[in-house]
Amino acid sequence: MIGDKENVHSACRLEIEAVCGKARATVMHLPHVSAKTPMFMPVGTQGTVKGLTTDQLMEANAQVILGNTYHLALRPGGDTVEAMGGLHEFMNWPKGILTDSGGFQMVSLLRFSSVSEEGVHFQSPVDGTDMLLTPEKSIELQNQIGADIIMALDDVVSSTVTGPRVEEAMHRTLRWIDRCIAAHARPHDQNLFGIVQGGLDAKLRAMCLEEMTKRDLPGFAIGGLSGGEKKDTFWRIVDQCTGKLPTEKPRYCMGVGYPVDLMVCVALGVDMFDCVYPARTARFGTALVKTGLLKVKSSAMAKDFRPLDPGCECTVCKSFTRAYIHSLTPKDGSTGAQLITLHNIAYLTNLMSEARAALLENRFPDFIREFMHLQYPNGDFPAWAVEAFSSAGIELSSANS
Amino acid sequence: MSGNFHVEARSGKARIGSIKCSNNCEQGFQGRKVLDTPCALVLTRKGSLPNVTNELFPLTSREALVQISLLDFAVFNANDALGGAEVISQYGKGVHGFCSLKGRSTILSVRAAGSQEFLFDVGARKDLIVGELRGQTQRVKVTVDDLLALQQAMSCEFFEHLSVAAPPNASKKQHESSVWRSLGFLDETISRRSSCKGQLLGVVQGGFEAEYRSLSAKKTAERAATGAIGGFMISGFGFGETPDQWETAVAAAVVELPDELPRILTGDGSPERVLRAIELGIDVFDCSYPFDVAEFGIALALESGKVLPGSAPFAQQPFSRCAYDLCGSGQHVNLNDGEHELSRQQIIDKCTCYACIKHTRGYLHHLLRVQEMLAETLICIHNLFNYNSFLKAARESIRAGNFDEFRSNFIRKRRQDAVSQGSSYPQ
Repeated sequence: MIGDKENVHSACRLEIEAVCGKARATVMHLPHVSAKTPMFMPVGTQGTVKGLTTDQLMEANAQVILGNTYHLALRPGGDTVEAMGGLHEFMNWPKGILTDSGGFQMVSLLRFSSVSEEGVHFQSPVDGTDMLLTPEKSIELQNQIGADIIMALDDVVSSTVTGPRVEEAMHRTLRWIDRCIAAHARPHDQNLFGIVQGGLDAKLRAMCLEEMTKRDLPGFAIGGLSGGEKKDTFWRIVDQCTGKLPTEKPRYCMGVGYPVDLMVCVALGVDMFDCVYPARTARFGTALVKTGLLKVKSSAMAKDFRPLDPGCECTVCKSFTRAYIHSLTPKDGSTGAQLITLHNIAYLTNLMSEARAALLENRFPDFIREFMHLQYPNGDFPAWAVEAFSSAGIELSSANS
Repeated sequence: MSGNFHVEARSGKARIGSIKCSNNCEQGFQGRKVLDTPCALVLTRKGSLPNVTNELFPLTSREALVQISLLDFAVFNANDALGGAEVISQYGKGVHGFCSLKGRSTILSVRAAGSQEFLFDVGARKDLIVGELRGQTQRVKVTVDDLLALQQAMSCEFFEHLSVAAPPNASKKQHESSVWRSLGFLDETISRRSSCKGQLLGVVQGGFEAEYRSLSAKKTAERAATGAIGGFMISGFGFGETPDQWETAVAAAVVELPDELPRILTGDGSPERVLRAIELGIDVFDCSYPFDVAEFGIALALESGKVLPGSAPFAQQPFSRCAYDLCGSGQHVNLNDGEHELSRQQIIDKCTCYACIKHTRGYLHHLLRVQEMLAETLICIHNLFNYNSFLKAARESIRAGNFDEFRSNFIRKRRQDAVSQGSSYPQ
């Protein structure tokens, strides 16, 4: 069911509940959910989060999940999703949905795509047919899909690319945002977020930020990161962006999912994140735990009768041991990947609600120190993280003293 | 040992009853474990339904037995060749705790339903059998002591002893050998089990000759007279026998078995065979059928005496002969079919399974098309639920004394559907 909100002029209202330095805890009122931030959003590219039921996602405390416009346009197609009542109803997910514009597929499906001023040309990896994804087409599709938050089509280049292509992409992203705004047919119940591009170049980012924030959009995303760039550059770009983005609007850092990266970004003032990481790493047998990563396939797990993450309250940790999950081999219909995926998503949503609780209780710096000491018990923090937290006013070393 | 099985009503040889399972098997579980028969012995992979986590198990613990496959646990971890008995005994909470099967009744099976494991006798030794791990060429030897150690650790409510199957075209010598070696395993299991919990199932082998099936059943039943056996497993089916061979063997075995113990039949569990098996006096049958068809995107719509909507025309999509044979006829929905793309109907009207309550045919069709794992998860849930509704209807018909009518109506309708779809109907 499409929920209709009392306020038809804006489909998003942000309530800032607590602030610590740049970090903040908010409630983001969206048409289908009042999402508590900071939040992690699991990725359900094709209208399903890998192998999990919507009830399992609910149990894992997912508030908003992602769908992907490009993939959904291919199959089942925008018309079909619309005819089936929109993506919420199609997949029977009552809470929030955010759809990516399809821009990222320029990078992930590079071999099949090319970009022009008109839009992105894709050759379908499914049947070889051509698709031209213009800003107008992307928004039209996203209007059909009906997510709470829709993303502008941006010109995305891999974060490891340098040179004039990055500048071209930034300028094109700015030209396209106005085409997206003009094409948006459902501003009353769908929130169009603009995406800040500019690669790893601070000047280009500054230009993009200035232009992008002139548009009165319901929220902004930081794009073009998390593509293999140096962490030292990554956090500085995030810091630069959150410094310029309006405080009264949500900030979304795209494609971030490693726990330490998430906490750095929260400290720098980002509210929302998405990543395929928890599901993908689960399929390779890695569980996310308080102390870092747990390789469930390792023979050390064969007789380990603890839950994946002792103290974790998720349904997987309450029911199963590491030894059991270790014994599940992939590809024979056993449920190992599903169980680890479910735990990993619960781990990240839980990490976010702990960060949120710390912000509300005014103990965020202590929380970060504790988190980092569990992740790095020897105190060998990566230098970039130390510096990033320090710039946000959090000194990691003081927990030792 | 009798007393764990109670026959409540009969219709011909078909019988409806209840099995009381050993109460002391699952640690920490206080309730009673009772099963309504005829019921299914549900195939699992490492203790959970294929692609379905146990919290989503679509049947109550009264409605089905859970099959625990010996080979899933005999070699616990292919990489370091660690035995499941060692791991689970250290864990100390049995298979129920390990696999999160709280309150369920389990059978430790030597051969998992529909699998090729331990198909034929590859070793000729008296003290062990040899099996192949699923999807691997690695061979595993299992002795009576190995089996008992595993059962000791797992505490399944029932367990099967080692036995040897004879193939459909076996020689007289092979038939005889399958009978006597299986009995040898049974005697050895009885004498060595000591404090091992759980009810032992006597395995009836003997291939497809009435003579040897009868011999095997008779000799196994003799052991039951001493109270050492809590039920019978009529085994060695599901690998290419003809319907006649199958029926001859099952009938010859059942005749020799005492009335007061439950009879479990192995095989694929297709609806026609299940109905015939019930008619012959079988109480439990292992089933891979609902999962086998789910793999092909086929959702079951077996009639259970209620009016069901028309099924989709069959075989619009190319798929293997295997699924075609499994379905045989109508009474299913091929969710691959493009006609479901915009369907907001549930798989079957009024079905109350999780998949039907939550999702439309259109969504399931999409999941199949993009090859998402959730498709199989949801279809497995639906299929098992539907299969069980069919069994429930069969139980009701036995109670009402009109099972014959139920069966012949079902078969007639399936045949009609098959003819109208231009296919031949398997018996």
